[in-house]
Amino acid sequence: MRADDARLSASETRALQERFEKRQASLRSATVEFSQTLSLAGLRNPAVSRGRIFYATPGRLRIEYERPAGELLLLPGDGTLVTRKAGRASAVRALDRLDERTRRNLTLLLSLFEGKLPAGFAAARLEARREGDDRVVVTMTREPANGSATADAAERVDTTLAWPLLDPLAVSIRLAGGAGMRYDFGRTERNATLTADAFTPPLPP
Amino acid sequence: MSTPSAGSRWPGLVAVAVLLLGLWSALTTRFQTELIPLFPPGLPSVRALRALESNVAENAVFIVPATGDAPSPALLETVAESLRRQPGIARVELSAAPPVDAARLVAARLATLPADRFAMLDHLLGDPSALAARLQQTQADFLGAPDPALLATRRIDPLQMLDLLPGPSVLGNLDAGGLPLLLRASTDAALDDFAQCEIFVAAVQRAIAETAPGAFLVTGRPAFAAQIAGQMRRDLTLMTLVAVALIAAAFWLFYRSVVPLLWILALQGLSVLAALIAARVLFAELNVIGLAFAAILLGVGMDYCILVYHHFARGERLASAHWPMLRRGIWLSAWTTASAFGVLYFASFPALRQLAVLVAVGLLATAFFATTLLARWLDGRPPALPAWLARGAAVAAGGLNRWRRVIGTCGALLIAAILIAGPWLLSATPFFQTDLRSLRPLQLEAFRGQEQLTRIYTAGFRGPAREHADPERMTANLRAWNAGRGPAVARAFDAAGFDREWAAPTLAVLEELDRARAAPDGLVALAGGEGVWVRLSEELATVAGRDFRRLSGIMLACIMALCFFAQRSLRLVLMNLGALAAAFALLFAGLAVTETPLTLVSLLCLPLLIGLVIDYSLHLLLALEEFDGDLRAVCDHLAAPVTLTALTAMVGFSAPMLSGLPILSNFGFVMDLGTLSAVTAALVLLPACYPLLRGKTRTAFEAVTSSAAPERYPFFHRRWTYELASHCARVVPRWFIQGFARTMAWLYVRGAPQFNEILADNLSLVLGRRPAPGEIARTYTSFAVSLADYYHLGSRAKEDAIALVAERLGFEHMKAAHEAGRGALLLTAHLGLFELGGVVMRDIGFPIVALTLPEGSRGLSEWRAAYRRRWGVETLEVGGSDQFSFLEIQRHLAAGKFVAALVDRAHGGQTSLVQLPHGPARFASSILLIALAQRCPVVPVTVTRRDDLLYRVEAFEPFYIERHGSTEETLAYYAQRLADVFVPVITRHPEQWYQFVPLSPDASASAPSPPPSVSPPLASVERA
Repeated sequence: MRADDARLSASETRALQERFEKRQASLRSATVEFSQTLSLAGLRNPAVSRGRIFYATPGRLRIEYERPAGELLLLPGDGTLVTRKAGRASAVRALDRLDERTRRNLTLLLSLFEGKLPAGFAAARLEARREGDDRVVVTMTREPANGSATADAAERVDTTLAWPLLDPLAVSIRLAGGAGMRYDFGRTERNATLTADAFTPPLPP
Repeated sequence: MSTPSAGSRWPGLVAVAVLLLGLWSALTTRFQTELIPLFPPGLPSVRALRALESNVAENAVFIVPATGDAPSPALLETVAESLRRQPGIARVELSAAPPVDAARLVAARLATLPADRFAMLDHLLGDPSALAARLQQTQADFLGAPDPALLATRRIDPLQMLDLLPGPSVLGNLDAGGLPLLLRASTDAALDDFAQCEIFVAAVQRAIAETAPGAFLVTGRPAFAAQIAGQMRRDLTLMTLVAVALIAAAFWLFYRSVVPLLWILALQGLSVLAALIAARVLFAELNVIGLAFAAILLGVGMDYCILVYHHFARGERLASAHWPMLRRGIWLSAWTTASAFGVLYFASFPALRQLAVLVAVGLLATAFFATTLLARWLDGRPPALPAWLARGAAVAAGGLNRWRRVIGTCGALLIAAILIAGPWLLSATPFFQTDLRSLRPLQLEAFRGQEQLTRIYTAGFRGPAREHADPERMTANLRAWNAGRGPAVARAFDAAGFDREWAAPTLAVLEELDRARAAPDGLVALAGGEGVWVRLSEELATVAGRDFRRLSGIMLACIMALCFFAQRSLRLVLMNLGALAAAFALLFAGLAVTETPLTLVSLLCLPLLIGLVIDYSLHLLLALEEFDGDLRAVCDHLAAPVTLTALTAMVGFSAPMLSGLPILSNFGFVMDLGTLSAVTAALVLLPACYPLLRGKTRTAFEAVTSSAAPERYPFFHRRWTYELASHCARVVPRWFIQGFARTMAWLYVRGAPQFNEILADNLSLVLGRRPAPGEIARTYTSFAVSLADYYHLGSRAKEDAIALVAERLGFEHMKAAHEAGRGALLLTAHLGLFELGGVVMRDIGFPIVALTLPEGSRGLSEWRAAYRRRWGVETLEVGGSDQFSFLEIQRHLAAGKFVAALVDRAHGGQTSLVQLPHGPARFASSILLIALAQRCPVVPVTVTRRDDLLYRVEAFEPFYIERHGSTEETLAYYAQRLADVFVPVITRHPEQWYQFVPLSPDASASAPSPPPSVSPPLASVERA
């Protein structure tokens, strides 16, 4: 089958988007393993990290890295960001004090679980295409504002979903300047039971 | 007496030409306003400042936050909008691009690291395993939660070199955007001059004032140009107005006269224009600071105008006997001061070179206009001298007379004490201040903005201040830097999986450090803060010291030469130098007492002080000589004008204090002290000491008229000068040496007005009228041609000399005398080239002996005797201590030889009064006694030059001396007979009668000494 034949029409794409939003709206919690690949132009060996993501409504996200071990990124849902580098104490910062570019990148994964368009992509061009029989790829392309893209902001996001369940399989984010970030997800455990302290900021050592 | 320059029309034409060309120069000269071009361009610190400046765009300005806090994006956008609305602003950018190269900034910061940290950097770069580990660490930083700020930092600095820097990281405290955002406004206008810069910068400042007053600083080249120009214009206007007002007030208080003052100011303006023309031709551009100084220094030129004014106010005129002396004094003073400054043209500082030209030309122009246009105007409208000035002069003279011993003793003691304490004074701190940090234009918003801009880009907002960056530490680090690490570092990047683009920023920094190791200028400027100014101070002090040692000797030699030219007396030159030493001693004492240091700028006062002292002392000494030490007359002529000129000079030099800049205040104060010292030395100490120093030296006229002692000759009347001239004449054709001689004579005639007057007096005895200036000039040039022929023949064969004689007339008379066997006296006048007479005599076989007086040196007497001997002419030296020369002459006559001598001038022996057509004169007549005793014929002979530059030798009818009454009456009778023979020839060739000493018996006893070229070589056969 040719790629053109796999492209969904605008109405099909809109229907797919609505269906995905509806499915994710029913999601109360989730946990999924992932691998994160950061490709930078001129860097021959991409940086590959691994870990597990924990999600719970409303708007809570925990990214726990196994590689690098001990690293953590937490959005407790109270308007703060908690980060911890391996071997260091965690740091808490208010989200609204972060610059918009950082905030957008941080909330991009959260929007995936929430079934919403990422921040800054409200007016993005949306396309979808079938890849084989078991997956569909949704592409969001942001139109450059005032003729120029902001440095390092996401230009295009490709979300690969399992078909027909629409579980996220991968998210590929293309950044300005040739950099790219890709998350590959394992099996998503929907509405999983999470521990009570899953979104509690870690205590200082 | 006439004043040729003042009487002719061409000074007026010159004034018109100067006015037109000056206006053209003012319109086309580029007035440069920057500080850095004032310094020697080759200095590393100057190159560093230039490098820093050149990084800022040519036609754009940066709008920099006034404080170290980053402005909010909203505020930046508001200001940007306001800027866009302003006319003339083409583009407004909100940019993070640094105005200076980022790699250089980073290299500069790294180079100022403490030595131990810099060694760590050096070790990291030299250790491949450490490099690999650092790059592995960087890759590890890309794992985990992505941190855009960290990514940006690692992207620029994968080796994490910047972590070595103290305080906040260069980029670490910035927002995720990396570099700080700044506003940059540019224009499409050319911004070629500072008026355009002012318009552009005013638009930018207006936009800021409308939106965020006081929150931003504007910097960049246009801002510097506009702000410096504005400040200089304000300062110049203020200084000029105040100086003119005060000088005018002082002039009015002294002379109660307004219109002449306006004339003087107008002529000063013309002089400024003349200086501007010279600067336009030589430099095309002019630093306004140099112009400001020049404007002040031209205040010195008031001196000449005031002296001229005082001359006429005293009731004297152009025809007065004192006028030539005064004019000569003014010109020599102008030349001396101009030379003192002219030497600065060879200084390393471009500013000094401009200043040298401006001041030298300005002073000469002032001297010219003062002695021509102003003199002629005042001659037609003579002003009156207030009575109190005459009374004041009398009181001053009385005081000086009464207290001269006390003043002289006190002065000597003071100067001795100062000279003894000199070494201590020179080493006293802070006697000489080399620190130029006070030169930094901190008052300029553009400068503060540039400092802030560099600070922000090297350290970020809220970064540490760099005022104490140590250029020495940077230099030491760079010396220890191992250059050439780039390839190894590139390989390490490659091995770690980083492509070239990742290594590029690091390699660029390493290249900058490598480059800086060889030439650290640029980095010093970037990292320096005050450091670069400290370094600039040190380097300028070194260069200034070198220039001072190199140029002061030349300056002193020039001044001594000019003083010698002016006074032709070693004694007077030494007096000048004594006054100079006294003035400097007083100045240094004044500096020590007031604890005022000399700076590089106030060092300028040294040549100026030399000029002032020489100026005053030259006039004083010339007047003291002219009035034979009569202090009353000297004070009458000079006390008021010198005091007033000192006052105006001090007012002029006080003007820079109004600018409020410490460096200029220091300059003004030092110059005021210097002027005071100059006046004290020249107007008080010198007249007081003059009688002591004068001793028993005879007056110049006595030297000419009393005896023929060798000391009457100038110093260059020596064998070596004749040999040199003769050697030169050997290698150049006759027409060339004649042309050269004419030129030198033309110049000389303008420098020796007192001899012009004597010559005019003498010629009027024959012509019956005052000769025109052109006729006097022709006599000098004719004399110069005779001299040229003398040297020309000195290096050539006898036949060449014979070939120059085209006509031989009356030789039958000599033949008869020769055949009579009793010899003959060939008596001639100072006409043409009379030495040629001897060679003609020998050519036709007559033995001849030339009588001479002793020359300036034994060597020269021998040289000149040898010169004649080549032609077969013997030389007999008479006079001096040889009382038996009379017998020797008789012996030669008895041997049948011809003895030649000049008689138309008194020279120590017996003289007789003769009546020339229009007045009496004295001729030497003692030689006639020999003819009387020897019964030999007397043959008048003349040698004159024809228009074709060949010569005519004419022997007149001989006569024998018979007694006519007493011996004196007899001598007078035959002296008159000789005069009657010579007068028609002189009347035909007045330009060939070389009489530069007074002939009239009424000539003043104060007549100056003869010009140096009168006695040699033509007078060598004169005195019997």
